Amino acid sequence: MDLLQYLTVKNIDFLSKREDVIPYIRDASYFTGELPIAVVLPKNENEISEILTKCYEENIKVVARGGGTSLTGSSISLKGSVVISMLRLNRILEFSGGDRYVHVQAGVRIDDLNSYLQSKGFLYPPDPASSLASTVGGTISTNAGGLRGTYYGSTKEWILGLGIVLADGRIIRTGGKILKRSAGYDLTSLFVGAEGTLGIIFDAYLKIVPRIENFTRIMVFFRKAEDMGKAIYQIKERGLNPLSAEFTDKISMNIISRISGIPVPDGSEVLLIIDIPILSGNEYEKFIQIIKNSNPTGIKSLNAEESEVVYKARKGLYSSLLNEREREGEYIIIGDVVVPSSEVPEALNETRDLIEKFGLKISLFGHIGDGNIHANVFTNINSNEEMKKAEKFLEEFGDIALRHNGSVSAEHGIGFEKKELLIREFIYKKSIVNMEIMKSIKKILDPKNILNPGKVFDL
Amino acid sequence: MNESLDIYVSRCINCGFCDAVCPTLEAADFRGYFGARGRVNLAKELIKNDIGEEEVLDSFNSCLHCNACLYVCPAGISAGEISEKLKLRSSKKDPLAKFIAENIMKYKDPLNIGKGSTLWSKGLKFNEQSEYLFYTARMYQLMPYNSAVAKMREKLGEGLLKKFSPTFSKLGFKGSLLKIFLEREKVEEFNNILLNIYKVLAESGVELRYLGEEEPYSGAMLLEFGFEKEFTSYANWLVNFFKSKNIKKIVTIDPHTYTLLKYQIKDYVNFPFEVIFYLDLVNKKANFSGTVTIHQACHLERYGEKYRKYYDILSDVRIINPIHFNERTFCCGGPDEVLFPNLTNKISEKRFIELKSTEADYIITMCPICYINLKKDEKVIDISQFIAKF
Ligand SMILES: Cc1cc2nc3c(=O)[nH]c(=O)nc-3n(C[C@H](O)[C@H](O)[C@H](O)COP(=O)(O)OP(=O)(O)OC[C@H]3O[C@@H](n4cnc5c(N)ncnc54)[C@H](O)[C@@H]3O)c2cc1C
Ligand code: SF4
Ligand code: SF4
Repeated sequence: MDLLQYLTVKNIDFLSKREDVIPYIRDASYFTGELPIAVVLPKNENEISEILTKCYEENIKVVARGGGTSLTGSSISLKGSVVISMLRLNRILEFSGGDRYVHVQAGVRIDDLNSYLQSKGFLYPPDPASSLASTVGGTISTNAGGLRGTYYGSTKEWILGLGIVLADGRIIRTGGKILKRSAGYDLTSLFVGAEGTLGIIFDAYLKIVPRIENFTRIMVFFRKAEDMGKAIYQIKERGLNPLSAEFTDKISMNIISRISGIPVPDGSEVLLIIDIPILSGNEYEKFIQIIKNSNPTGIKSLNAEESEVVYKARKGLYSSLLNEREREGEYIIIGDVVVPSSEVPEALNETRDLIEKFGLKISLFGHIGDGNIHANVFTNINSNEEMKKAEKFLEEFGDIALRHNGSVSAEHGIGFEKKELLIREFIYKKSIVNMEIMKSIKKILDPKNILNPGKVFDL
Repeated sequence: MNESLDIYVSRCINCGFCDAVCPTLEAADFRGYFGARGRVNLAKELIKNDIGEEEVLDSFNSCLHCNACLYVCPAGISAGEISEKLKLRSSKKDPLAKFIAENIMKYKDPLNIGKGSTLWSKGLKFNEQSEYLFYTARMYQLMPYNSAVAKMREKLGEGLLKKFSPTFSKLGFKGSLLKIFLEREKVEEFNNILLNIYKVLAESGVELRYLGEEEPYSGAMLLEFGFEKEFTSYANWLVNFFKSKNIKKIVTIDPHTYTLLKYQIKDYVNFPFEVIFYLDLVNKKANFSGTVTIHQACHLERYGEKYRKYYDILSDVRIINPIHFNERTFCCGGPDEVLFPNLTNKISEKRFIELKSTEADYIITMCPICYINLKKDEKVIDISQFIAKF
């Protein structure tokens, strides 16, 4: 029985016509996948298990897909593959404020989860700028970060347990409702950031926190990125924690100014947006004192309305940059590196020199509170020459991060795009054996290499 | 859309934000073909001639033109607008859509309901000299007849309905089978809403002119179903008709006609009339001590402007917002009723639950299509009924 007959007999919904599978060949990266044999729309883990059992038997590649917002090509379909769309698994199964967890299916979108939790006074902190569309399963699989990452950390900090279907169709559970656990290897962590190469996550126990409602948002302008980097480091060194700390270069600063109507003080090159939590009362003064001593060109404390506008403008910065594209075929390829806070000033200086050297149109912004810098490279993806130049830039941008004890991928994962960079990172850290370990794990959990093959690394 | 379609579509970065808000995606059990991103991707293929029109027709036809996608798209693209343009370009048309288009061209009415459009106005006073034309565009009147078509589809099945469409067209609504499915109470309910609209305007001191049986439909469905040539000719006819009646100011009473005449029609014809939404002329404030929730119409929120005059009228009333409100308002699913009734049912059910879960005393609508699709219990009330009552 071939796969499609099998799915029909098992009463599992699938799509196989060309017009039906085309919507699944792309994600938000510049890669285009190839037509899959089918897209399946399972309703529960048992159906996923049946699909995988058959695919394992028949050696058919399987690509899990959540919101399809990946920026690295990790969710594009592969030739001859089956795409498993997780969107029908979109129920919130259980909530417990007292036990501080929410149990959800993998296809729940992050914003939907948080609007549910908001009504209960709680928050699931990971907040990638794609939270409108990205899903619990997808964000776990890329270990997504976001604006709140500096205070709360990235997705990995919030996963208590997972329900997973393995490559051969077996169903397992890791972790659970409990907030701590010391019982052997931490299998939950293994699947965080695995990009669908080790198993299909069908549900998750997620840690939640009460919302911090009381905070002040300020905008600080600087002449030099270095001064901004130092300010952030000092804030953290003095034991203070911003709820979020976002920086932008001049191009993006001007966009935010245009949207919010808040003028940029003369001589400013860099903008820092900080959310100061007001917990015990005098945090604001402590933050401001440090900032005042860091050579700012201006400080603006925002009222509620301005605060909302500026937040939206920052969250939508990538969108605004997209609208700055001037040429046909122009895309924005995003470099996504991270360095320790103490290294931010120097890393930013070197990045500025690198941009000058390459002469590309690039805008920098990022979650600077946790050392995450995004380089948005405007590139015509139809021009080989430009693509090569952009790739070279991203390689050297990655090298800057490595020289400063950082990583080539902060939150977007590896996918298709960063496979070479990942190897580069392991070599730089004199630990290429990491790659061997990853491959060994992959071989144990997916001996036939059917799960999202060719993503993260080539076997 | 100021640039060519292929350039417009190529700006899409495939982020999928539009899918997250597209009502038809979830209603179609997450079949990407019926989602906003699917529509854009299929448009990309169609433009390259990598797929046939026939294969993609349902994807574009099922778009509600609710514009929810435009509001969240980082690249500023509307999958709704793309669907509309491609429908206009396509030579393939749905037979039922053809039947409706023929009716509009022939009878100036999508279902040829004849005198059915004027019953509500019996005994009311109008002023031939008034500067305000009260233009119902037959929208409220048409709703019970639309439901009859949907009912008949349910009974006959898709195939037979489409097969008989040409006969219905010849016989008109009255002479055909369709009339068996018409519910009298529904006709009265909608006539009553029209009466209330008339009343609140009268109470606000506005005198109205009404064209009675001569009043034509607006032509909106021609555009919705992709009949561009026909719409252009209809729009020209409409302009001349209004001119011949010496019309200057048109008071529309439903959001679809309002946005069509105020914005969309201008791409096809010079439309030299002032277009007003009737709530602008209402000078009463509602006085109600309970709570209401408002189902804001997509056309009032996301087409050309954010029309929110009703907030003034309801400024003394406690409003409880549903999960999706203001520019994120969620479509009632109505525009799919004729061609994709299953999608409409699921979307309207979802929206009704959202509104109902506010536990407000009333659920206020302001569009006949929203009203008929959301009228799932007594709490649902047209804004004119609410203003007249309180
Ligand atoms: C405009 C924009 C802004 C962004 N901003 C951020 C940001 O601020 N921070 C950030 O971290 N990322 C960001 N991203 C990147 C992207 O949104 C994240 O990588 C996100 O985590 C992907 O989630 P998804 O549900 O869309 O997953 P998909 O793209 O569908 O999949 C991502 C990977 O996870 C796998 N996968 C999906 N679901 C499952 C499952 N249930 N089980 C196993 N594997 C699965 C897929 O196979 C794929 O390898 C942004 C993207 C866009 C387009
Ligand atoms: S939201 Fe816009 S850019 Fe994103 S997939 Fe939809 S049309 Fe494309
Ligand atoms: S206009 Fe509405 S129905 Fe059409 S694609 Fe956009 S969100 Fe979906």
